[in-house]
Amino acid sequence: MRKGTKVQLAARRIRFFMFGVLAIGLLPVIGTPAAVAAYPEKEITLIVPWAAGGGTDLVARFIGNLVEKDLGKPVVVVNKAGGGGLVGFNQIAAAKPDGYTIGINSTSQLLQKYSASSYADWRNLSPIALVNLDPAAFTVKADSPWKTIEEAMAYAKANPMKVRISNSGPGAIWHVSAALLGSKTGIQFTHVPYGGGNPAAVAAAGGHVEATTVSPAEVGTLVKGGKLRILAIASTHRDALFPDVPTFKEKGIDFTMGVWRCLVAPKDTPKEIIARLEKSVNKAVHDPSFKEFMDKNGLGQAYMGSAETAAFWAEDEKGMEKVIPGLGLKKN
Amino acid sequence: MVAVDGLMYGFGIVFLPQNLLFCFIGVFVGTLIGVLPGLGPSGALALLLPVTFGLAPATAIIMLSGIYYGAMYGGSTTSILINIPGEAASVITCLDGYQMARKGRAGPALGMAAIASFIAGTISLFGLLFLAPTFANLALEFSSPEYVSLILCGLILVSFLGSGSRLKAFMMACVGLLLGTVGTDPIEGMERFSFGIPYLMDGVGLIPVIMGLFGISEIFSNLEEQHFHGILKEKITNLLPTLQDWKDSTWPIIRGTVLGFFVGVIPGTNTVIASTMSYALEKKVSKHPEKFGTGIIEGVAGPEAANNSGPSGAFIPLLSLGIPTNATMALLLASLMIHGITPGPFLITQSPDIFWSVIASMYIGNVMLLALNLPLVGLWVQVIKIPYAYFFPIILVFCLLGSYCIGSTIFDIGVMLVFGIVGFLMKKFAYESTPLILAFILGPMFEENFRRALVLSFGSFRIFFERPISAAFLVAAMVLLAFTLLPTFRKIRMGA
Repeated sequence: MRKGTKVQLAARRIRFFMFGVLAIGLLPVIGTPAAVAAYPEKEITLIVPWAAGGGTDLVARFIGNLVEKDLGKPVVVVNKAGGGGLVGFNQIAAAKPDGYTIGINSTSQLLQKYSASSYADWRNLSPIALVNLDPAAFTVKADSPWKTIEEAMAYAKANPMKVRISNSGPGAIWHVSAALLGSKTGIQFTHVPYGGGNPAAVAAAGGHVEATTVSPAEVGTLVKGGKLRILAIASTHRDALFPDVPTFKEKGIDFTMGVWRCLVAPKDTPKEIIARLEKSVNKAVHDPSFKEFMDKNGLGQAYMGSAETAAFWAEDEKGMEKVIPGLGLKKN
Repeated sequence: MVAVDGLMYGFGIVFLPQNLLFCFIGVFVGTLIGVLPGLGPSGALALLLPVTFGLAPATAIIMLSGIYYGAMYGGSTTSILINIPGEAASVITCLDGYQMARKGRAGPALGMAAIASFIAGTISLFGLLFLAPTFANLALEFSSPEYVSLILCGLILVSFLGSGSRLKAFMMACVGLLLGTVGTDPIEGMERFSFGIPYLMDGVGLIPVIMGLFGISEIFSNLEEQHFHGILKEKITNLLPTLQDWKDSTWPIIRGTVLGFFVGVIPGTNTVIASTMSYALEKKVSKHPEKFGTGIIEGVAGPEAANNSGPSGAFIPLLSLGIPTNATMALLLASLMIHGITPGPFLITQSPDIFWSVIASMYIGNVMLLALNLPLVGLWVQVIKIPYAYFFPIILVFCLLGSYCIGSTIFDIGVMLVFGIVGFLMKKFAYESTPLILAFILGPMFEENFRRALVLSFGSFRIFFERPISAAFLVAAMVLLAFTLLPTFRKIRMGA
């Protein structure tokens, strides 16, 4: 009896122990949904990998404000500039994936892979939603002999390297865009890098280059001022600001390329939290004040949810993989 | 009249309450910085840059430019009262201003300094108003080859017009050029001297470098020196100059204004050169040159006018071409860029609010400064008496905060401290930091435009000589270089 009791006791102890282990093991499983359901319980930090006052910073702050209203907890924007966005990107990627540190990134970070000594891999991030997309616009001086994109392409094909296209910097999105256009049409251009989209547009207006491939927003005022003319845009649909301008697709050239901005979270952030943030960002993007803000700053409006954005990134990367090695960028 | 309409539009913006307030804050802080020895307008601008992040771009620029010309006003006060220039440009004012004060005429000296500053500041704005749009109209013609030739001129002037040793200025310019090569190269995208450190991929930050060289180093060197606070005991009376003072000062003010304005337009110059040249000019045309240095009012009026019309001149290349002519203008350029505005040919058409409100705010600011300087001289005298033991820790904290705020990185603080020590040593061994900072800014601009010009010309150097504006600048550069080298050659021949 005593023996039996002993065995029983031991068995009970073991059972108790096992239960404890099981309980501890299960804790996170039970705990997580509870934390997710209560999200957000405290303030959220939004890392902008560029200096305050720039385009991406403005977008982040505007969306941050709207998301804050929706979630009922403060969204604090922190600028972590440096390394062409790499410093901030690494901090987003390395943050605890609990939804309390999120960030914003753009095409330029994807492009660093091909030129910089160290770069950020987008696979270290989970997209929340894409909030802005500006296509490349093939733009010429107002008194240029080319009235249509066909005329420009015909001349460029007959005169290899003679057509100079200004872009916003070596390996930057508009350089890649012009190169992609060249590879899709079999034309050789001379690429002229400038220190940003605006100087590139000004160079075209001054007649120092034959064309530029920067965004409609960047050439907008010069087009309206009668200095430049857009021949085609690299988008799937016509631009809201310039509805008369055809797309390359309409003209039989399969060329779409552009710059985007996207809200992101660290890689392993729980799906439920991503979904909650996505819902909030979606609501912000469809707020009338956001449309007004984007129009005022000449930014192209677009929206893609988390899954759609991830697929879009993979697609974008495939396109770049094809043309970038041919650009002659020096990789350190 | 585009200029008149534009100016009216500018006044419309400036008279918004927040802009008036920040204009006032700007000129007030500027005067304070000017009065306090040890902190110049570049350092102050760098300090206050992060404060402007939350402001509208026009408001931010109104405030920051207020600091610049405000400092030019304030600098004369300490020069006259204690023989220590509040900022570099007022060095010349010490010569006759302090002597006037010793003769018991501190009041008229201070009064005339403020009035000359006001007149020069206001008149020179007309120059800015009419010349900047003309410059900007030319600007579409301005492409990479023109920038190359213009910057070449500027780089030669940097070493040509420095006030100390020419060789040392040249050495500092070389250091600045080397520093400017750090980061991603602008044409091929190759990284240079970044050692795989992400913070260095965009190059060394301009603002931490300026804060270190101009702000931190000043604190260090002031800590080392024991300042002599020989403030005048007697009360300052009669701020208004006499009729004779007015007669003596009228022409010096006019000459100083014109001179200061045109010196300001030239890249690579600073207001010290303008005020020195004005003093030399007055001495040359005076009927009694021997009296200069004994406390005569012409020696105060001319240089003070010159150092206050200089800023208006300096705004022309900044606003119409995007080229900074001195360290302070470089900071204004940086602050415009932070607010997403690229100064250059299209500033007037793309951001007319910025262009016209800055000009209009300078009219208002000059009136505010006159009001601040005449009745408040007593207050500024009290400010000079603040012991450095309280004052410098505060400045140091501001510098640390300021450099951190720009990118929220500790790295920038490190850069600032390193350049603070470098700047301190440079001061100790009489190396100027201005050639360094200008070469640091102009060097990368030169490289980028030079290489781009060759891409545009498919590799032909003829592009620099074929284009008329570029060719004209190249000729000017040659002439300048000849002037710089001539004395050296002569010396060599004499020796042989």
